[in-house]
Amino acid sequence: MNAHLPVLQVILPLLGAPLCMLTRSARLNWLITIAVSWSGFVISLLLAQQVWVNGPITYNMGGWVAPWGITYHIDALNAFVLIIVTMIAALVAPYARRSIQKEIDRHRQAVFYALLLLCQAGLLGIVITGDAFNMYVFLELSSLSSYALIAMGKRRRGLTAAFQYLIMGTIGATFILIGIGLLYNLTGTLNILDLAEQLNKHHLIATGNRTLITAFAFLTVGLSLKLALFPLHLWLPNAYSYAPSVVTIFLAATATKVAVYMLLRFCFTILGHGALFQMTLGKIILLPSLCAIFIGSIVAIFQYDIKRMLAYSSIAQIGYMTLGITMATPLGLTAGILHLFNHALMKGLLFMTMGAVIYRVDSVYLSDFRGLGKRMPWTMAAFVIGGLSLMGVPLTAGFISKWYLVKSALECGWWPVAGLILIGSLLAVIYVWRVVETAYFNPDHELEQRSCEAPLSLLLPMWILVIANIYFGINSDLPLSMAARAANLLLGVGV
Amino acid sequence: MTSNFFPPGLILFAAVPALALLPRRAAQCILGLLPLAILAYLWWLPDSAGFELRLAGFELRWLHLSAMGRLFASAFLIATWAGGLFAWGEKRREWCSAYTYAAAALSITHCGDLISLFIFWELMAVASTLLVWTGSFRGTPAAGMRYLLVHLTGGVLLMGGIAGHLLHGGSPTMQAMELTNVSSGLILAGFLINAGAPPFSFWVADAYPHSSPSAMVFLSALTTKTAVFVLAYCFAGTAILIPVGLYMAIYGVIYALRENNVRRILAYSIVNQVGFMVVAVGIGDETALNGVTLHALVHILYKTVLVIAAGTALRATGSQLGTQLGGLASRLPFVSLCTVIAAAASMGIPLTSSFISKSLILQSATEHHLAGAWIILVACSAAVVFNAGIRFAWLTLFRTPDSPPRWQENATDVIGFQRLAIGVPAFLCLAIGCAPQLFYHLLPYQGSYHPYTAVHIIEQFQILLPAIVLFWLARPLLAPRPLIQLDTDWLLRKLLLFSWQDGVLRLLYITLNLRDVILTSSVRSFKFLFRHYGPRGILARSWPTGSIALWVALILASYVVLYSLQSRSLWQFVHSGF
Repeated sequence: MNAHLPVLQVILPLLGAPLCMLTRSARLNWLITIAVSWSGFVISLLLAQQVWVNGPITYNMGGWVAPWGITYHIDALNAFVLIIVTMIAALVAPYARRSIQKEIDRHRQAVFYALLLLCQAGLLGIVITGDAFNMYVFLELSSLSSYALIAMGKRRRGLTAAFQYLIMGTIGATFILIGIGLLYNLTGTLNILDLAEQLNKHHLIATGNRTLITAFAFLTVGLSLKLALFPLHLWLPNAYSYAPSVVTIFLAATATKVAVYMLLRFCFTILGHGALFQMTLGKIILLPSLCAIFIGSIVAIFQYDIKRMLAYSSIAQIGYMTLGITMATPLGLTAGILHLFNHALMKGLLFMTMGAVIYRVDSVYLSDFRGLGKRMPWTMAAFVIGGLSLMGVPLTAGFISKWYLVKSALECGWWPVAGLILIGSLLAVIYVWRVVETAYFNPDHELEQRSCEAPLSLLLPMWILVIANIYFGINSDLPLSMAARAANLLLGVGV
Repeated sequence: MTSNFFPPGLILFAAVPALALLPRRAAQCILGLLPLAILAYLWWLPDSAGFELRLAGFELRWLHLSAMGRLFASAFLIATWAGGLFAWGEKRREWCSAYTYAAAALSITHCGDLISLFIFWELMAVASTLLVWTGSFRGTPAAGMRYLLVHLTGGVLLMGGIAGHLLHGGSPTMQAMELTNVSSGLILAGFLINAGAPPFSFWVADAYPHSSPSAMVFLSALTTKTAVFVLAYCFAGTAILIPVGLYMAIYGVIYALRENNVRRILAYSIVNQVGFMVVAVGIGDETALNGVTLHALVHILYKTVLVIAAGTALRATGSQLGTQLGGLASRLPFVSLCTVIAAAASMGIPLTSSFISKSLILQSATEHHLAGAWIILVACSAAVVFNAGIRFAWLTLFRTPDSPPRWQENATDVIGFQRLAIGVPAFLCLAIGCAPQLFYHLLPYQGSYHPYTAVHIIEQFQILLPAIVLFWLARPLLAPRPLIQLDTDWLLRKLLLFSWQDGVLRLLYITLNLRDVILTSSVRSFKFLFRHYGPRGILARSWPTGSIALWVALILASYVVLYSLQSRSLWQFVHSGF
């Protein structure tokens, strides 16, 4: 059983999806989703434990050995990302039922759960596989299901948002496919580890091979689209703000993280410990990252739609992750990878509070937050803690990321960059406290008086994340050591 | 060798959930007794006591006692106790934020490393913002927001400084630092913002009067004095602090002159007195540091009394404006008695506490031949007559008002327990003044000081008497009226949001023209931001799909070119091609 854990990780949600379509009962579907997501979380923890103790795991599909068959390869990095994805999925599953009841027509709920599981399977597949083409297949699986999920939003603009995401996502995926194709053309292999080896053997990296360069240009642009790096972020605000709450929570906390994971895989594992990366890619991505932090935060300040505001804040936070990556030092990569985890915690939490507000108030416009501090005390308290984490106040998870980012920027001698990181956190203060001020200090809404606290099934996952935000701010050894190990692995230091 | 003891600050933290959950009676017992118990515990702790833990991957030392820290902690505890008694009837929300805030400040006085310092620093900023928000004035939420932003800016500078300091091989222990590189400069800047140094001096007077009557007791005692403590601990003898402190001393005096709001007068007077302390830190010898420690203690004591007096007047009449107060002495006899003592203490009249502490600071300025600084300090200490000294008491309690203030239905003088809150600090003001030798041996450095020499006493009266006479003569000018100038001034303040309205600009660019330029340019830059970043701005609006796709293609092209440039093959191509 233990030996087959890697494949179970993907196959369970993949089988869960058709099961949902067959049963057609909303309650049963929900139970299936919960069972699948929770067992997925357990599996990812078991896998991480195995990797931690015994080193990387390689699993050959159907017994076909590496360069010929598809292999699943799990090391410190993807074990960590698997935990992020399955953890969020496990928390979203119990949250989903009430939120879905409110936001999606009854007859479409079965499809919704099926798509959610498919998306989950796709994301997990991308992370776990050791084969570049297989990665693309899973990418398409997760993307197609997420287009459909976004289109299920209550507002009709969800349709255009999904369409735009469809076009952009497909361009991105195509670019990635072209990149992979060019790499295949060069080396004749699709296995990621083998790719790295072949590139190295033929001295393609050092000589600046033109095909290789073009391949990486396609890959980085395609991935930048997927991870919504400025200026290719334009699909994200609409997609996040018009999607159903559950979808926004899930995608915001996982999808972009998985894209960042792919970037790490291609730029570090394949290109060989970041030597070339440091020379070329790093410098080029630095500017978009800084723009993302700064522009994303300022735009967020001016938003009235709070879900959209959080979407822009996500763009800024993605900038922090890629910024950590561009430094290509052990500390910088650790900070970036750690921020994957911490951002999933805080953005998951914040979007969950948005879901609860939509559940009761039916709107997330700033003016509708008036008086919510009194009427939805638990939800708004969770929002405040999530906001504090986003600002990076000590004793929250966000502080740990901010601290390591600043430290790594200073280590590289990038004083202005460190300054910008800190200014970004001050901008976060403004956009978060704008909401807090409205919720706690503005007089009640004249019309809306009847809304009360969100139901327990929404509050419980939310507060688990609140506790996680505080716990990992106080005791961050676990994610920190995993991130550090992943960073060292990518840079070929130690381990 | 350190032995593990529970840090006093953590005990206060532990009290927060108790205050929130216990029955009101029990919670009130905590308010009345716990700070005193912790005070006793603090002095019982042996010097070697330590408390170490690992948190978030950092090795932290939360208990590291020093003589200076003990005195600051004692002052904080007394203020917390007095504030707690005065907040007896307030909401639990206020108690909890006040205790979190006090616990963080207390922890700073005995924390041993920079990371813990930063953690408590930020906690203090957030908790004190909640405390500012306890007020129920019209501008309170916005004032709290400005306060938070200023303090988090300070926190951000501090964090950048600490990170840089650690990276460049600096020790994480709290210890004296040299102002040699950017990191220590940033740390210093972070400290100074909390002390109310320029260009951020405005936050003190901006935020404090917006808090509730009792919340201001905590606020006025803790934030600025914590900053003075860390400055004295880490940056004693840094020369740049002398001009900064002098600026603050002058700033406090000048602004208080024109002020009508009595609690804002007290807030300006805090900046003024903290300026004294910052100057002394800048001088930085043993006498000066003794002076800082003692003056911080003394200042917390008399300011507690004055703030409680102002709070009582505010509770009794519902107003804190000088124009609507006055003549309350007969109705608030006990408060008036204590206020007189505290006002005397603030002016440094012999036999009161400030006479002792200020003489230490002035003595060290003389020893270092800082004639300019000495003259300014003496002038400012005489000018206290015009703010916290006589003017505050006169405005609130003793002046015969044109129309009697509105007296709330069931308002009274402080009664019962609450008399302790104002009485004990007032008594201590006298005790320190009358028996200074009892307190001298508690100071961080040993030395023999004799404040009661004939020369010194005469000197002090020579300073104070003319000031008092001047005040008496200038009374008609200083009589409160809602100055129009003041109102437009306040309006500008709101428009300019933060720092530009500050004194530097007022003193330097006094002409209105320049102000207009700044005003319009700030409005214009806001409009610019909104045009580009606002919901319909180019950076925020939804783009047509086609144009995004076009951009993607352009970016792809530029990436290809950039990558090639970087790996130089394109250069080779260009060279060989042409």
